[in-house]
Amino acid sequence: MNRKDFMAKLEQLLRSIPAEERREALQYYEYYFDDAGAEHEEEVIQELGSPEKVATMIGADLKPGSEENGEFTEHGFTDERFEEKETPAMRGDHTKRGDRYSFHQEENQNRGYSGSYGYENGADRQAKPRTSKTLKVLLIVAIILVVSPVAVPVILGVAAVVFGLVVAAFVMFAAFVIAAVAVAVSGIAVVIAGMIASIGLPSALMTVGIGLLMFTLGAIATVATVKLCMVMYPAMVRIIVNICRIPFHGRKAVV
Amino acid sequence: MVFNTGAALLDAIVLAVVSGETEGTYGYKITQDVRRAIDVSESTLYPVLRRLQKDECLEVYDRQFDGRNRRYYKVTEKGMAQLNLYKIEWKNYSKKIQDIFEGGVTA
Repeated sequence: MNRKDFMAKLEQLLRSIPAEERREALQYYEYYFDDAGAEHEEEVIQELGSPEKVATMIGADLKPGSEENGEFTEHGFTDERFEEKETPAMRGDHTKRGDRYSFHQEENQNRGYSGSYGYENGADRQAKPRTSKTLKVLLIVAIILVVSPVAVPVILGVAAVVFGLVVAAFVMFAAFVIAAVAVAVSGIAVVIAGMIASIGLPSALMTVGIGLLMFTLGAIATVATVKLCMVMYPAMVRIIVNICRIPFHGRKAVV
Repeated sequence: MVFNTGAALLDAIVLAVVSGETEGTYGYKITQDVRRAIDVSESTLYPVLRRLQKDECLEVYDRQFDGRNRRYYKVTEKGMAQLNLYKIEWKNYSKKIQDIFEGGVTA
């Protein structure tokens, strides 16, 4: 097979993909042969494998849904393909086979690579049930309908409890601050009371002393509790935000 | 090679190779450069390049060379951002593996 045969065969195999994609791919390989030079033509053809293989890879990447399932590695693509070709147990044509080799990309699009190396072996892939999408959606709707009378109140209840706990936590720390301020304020009140009440000098001095002591302790506690709030509130908000993110972004929380 | 190269890693390698050429580089050269690092089939690269192009991580333009056209690839701003992300992820990932290999799993 020479370059011309190779390209002709490739063009024929790519007939099922959109015209623009076909043009792009063919153009790429034309340039590729050009750059490799006539002296490397043989080599390139050998390295590319077969037009079927090249076409399958191009097709696999264009398949709808190819971004959601499956993984591929350069070896998965190259070696397995040919191993599988010889396996009688493998059914299906090229396009079907291509379907299983696809890019794992759903997360890449949003946040870049997130460590989703994986390997599905041939047996697992074959065992995958071939359920249609509509059926799946119908089933999901049915499940929701059946479960919702119980699930909705339960979810609401859980949400209310969680909300209550969060509010309680916030209020608790706020209460600490208020208590500390109250102690300081009552200290001042006691000092004033000690000064204006006619209870004799020793008693008045003691009352004023106690008042001063209370005021000091209250002031220290106020500073301490405000500091505590400054530490705790942002931390709590972060934790809550991270928990809320989990359903949308997987487990990797941003701290 | 013993270890497989996942799609993300392949993307990262291709972006890194292309970003190394400020004037842009072309398919055949990219393939040769990538193959210098990892054992990847020649036919694997086109889908990767095409996808990166569609994701606007790479931009392409045709330029005359030696009396014929050549398609050049260049990393876009988005591609650079993506590459940097990959680099950071790879650093973390490889460090963890390294730690395990060297027996000192530090929490």
